[in-house]
Amino acid sequence: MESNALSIQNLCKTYDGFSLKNVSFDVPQGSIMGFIGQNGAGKTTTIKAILNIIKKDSGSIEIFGLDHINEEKKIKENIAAVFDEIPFPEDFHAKNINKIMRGIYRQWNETTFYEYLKRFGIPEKKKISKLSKGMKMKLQIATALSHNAKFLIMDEATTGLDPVVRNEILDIFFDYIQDEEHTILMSSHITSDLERIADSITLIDNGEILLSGYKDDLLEQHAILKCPKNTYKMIDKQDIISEKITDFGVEALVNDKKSCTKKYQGNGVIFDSASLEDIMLFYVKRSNGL
Amino acid sequence: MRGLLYREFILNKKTLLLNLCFVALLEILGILIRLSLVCGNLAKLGRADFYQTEQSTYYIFLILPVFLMAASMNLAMRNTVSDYSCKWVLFQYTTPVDESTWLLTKLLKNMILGMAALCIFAVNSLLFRLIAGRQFFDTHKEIFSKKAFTACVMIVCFIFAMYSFSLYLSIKYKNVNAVTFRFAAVFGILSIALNMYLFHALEQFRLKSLALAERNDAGAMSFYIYMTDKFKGHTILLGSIFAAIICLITISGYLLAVRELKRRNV
Repeated sequence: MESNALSIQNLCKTYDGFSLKNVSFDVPQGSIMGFIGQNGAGKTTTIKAILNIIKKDSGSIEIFGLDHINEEKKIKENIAAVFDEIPFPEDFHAKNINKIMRGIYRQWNETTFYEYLKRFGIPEKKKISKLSKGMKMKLQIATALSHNAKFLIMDEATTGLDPVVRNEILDIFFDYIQDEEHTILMSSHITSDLERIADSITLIDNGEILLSGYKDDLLEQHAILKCPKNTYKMIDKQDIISEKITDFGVEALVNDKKSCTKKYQGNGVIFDSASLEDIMLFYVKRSNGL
Repeated sequence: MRGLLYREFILNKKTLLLNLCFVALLEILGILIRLSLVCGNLAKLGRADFYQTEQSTYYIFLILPVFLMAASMNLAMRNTVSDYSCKWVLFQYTTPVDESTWLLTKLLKNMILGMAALCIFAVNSLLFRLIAGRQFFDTHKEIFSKKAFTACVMIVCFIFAMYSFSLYLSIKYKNVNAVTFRFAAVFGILSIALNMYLFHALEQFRLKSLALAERNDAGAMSFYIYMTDKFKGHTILLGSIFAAIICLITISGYLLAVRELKRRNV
């Protein structure tokens, strides 16, 4: 039976003007989950709740089957978090970071850390202020991967990086999960990265989970229906997630490609593959009532 | 804790080195003046002027470096505020380090700085004695330097307590100006009052000992012994009250800070 690295049930958290409402999803061990949503959807709030950086109002969160508050210290020896900005002062360099982490994590591996630095081309004594954004992110990732963490949580870590650096980082993650003992939860709104790397996807919008499942299944089940406006009137709205009406016709997302193809193929109706970005856009559109 | 302690010192490496340079400068000046008192121009001064100069320099060059070093404890407060702005606190919450350990590290750093300040006093005292030679091993000078040491310990403990409490303020307000304002309001008045009393008391002591020294050394020695005997019983009581106040400020600051951190108000 597949065990979960992370299991969230009915997570609720309310702020002024925003709330997480019964967020539930699981991240199977040995997989990469892409956590997608537009800005302000609740990705960071969910991740902060998982890491107990903010106090949840209700719900349960288990990491490696352990309660994330009662067993916090034990869990945090085995997880690593990477944020969009490096959390070290600009005056520090990699050697300082090594000494600090050595005194924090019991399983800190200095050799692994310096190997990653070598692989990423990060000089040991160069100040963080002198590093490019991509190098800073790689340094953060090197730090995260050097204490034998079983679960890597990334919050918008690739945002603002150029495609070459993003590609490099994704290759690192591929290597990281090869042994199937390591798990990654990666929040991002760059769906192309997740389409390449993720095993499963969870879509959040306005504090609610709209969709969660295996990426390949989701991509197979969803399709973009394209047809002229007058043909669209014949389409059963129950089959449609949401639509985009233009001067040239209608584009609509369906979540049961097989049966919709049987029902509507022909009569000017064509089906194109839906990308993760398409799925996200159409679901969010429905959620917002547009 | 080791890693965090290392981080605390590395963050303030430049400032601490600068402080040490100032302390070294004061040490050199103090030594030069002491040398002059022993065998230079200042040794030719009249009795009263000699004692006045001797005691002034004794206080300035013995206690001021201690104060300067102890004031470095302020850096822990500034580090805490910058921890929030550079998102270190966010990262901290993802590590196995709990709130108590994090705060104890900062207090430990301040304790180390406090001990360093007292070591500077010990080194200074020794140097002054070595320069002065045998005459400074008289009994009344022993008592005199013991009182100076007590004053230093009190100053260091008070500064330690103040800056321990300021950690709570820096976690709550996360802004240097807001913390400084509240810090000054709470401790500024206390410090001013304490300093005014101490300087008044020391000035009275200095004037009385000068007057006795004008008469003879035996008179001066009698006065020192008399003063020590007079306050002996009260010294213990006053010392205990002082220690209790220091512990109260430190512990309450620590507990409030831990509670504020546990609220996870990032």
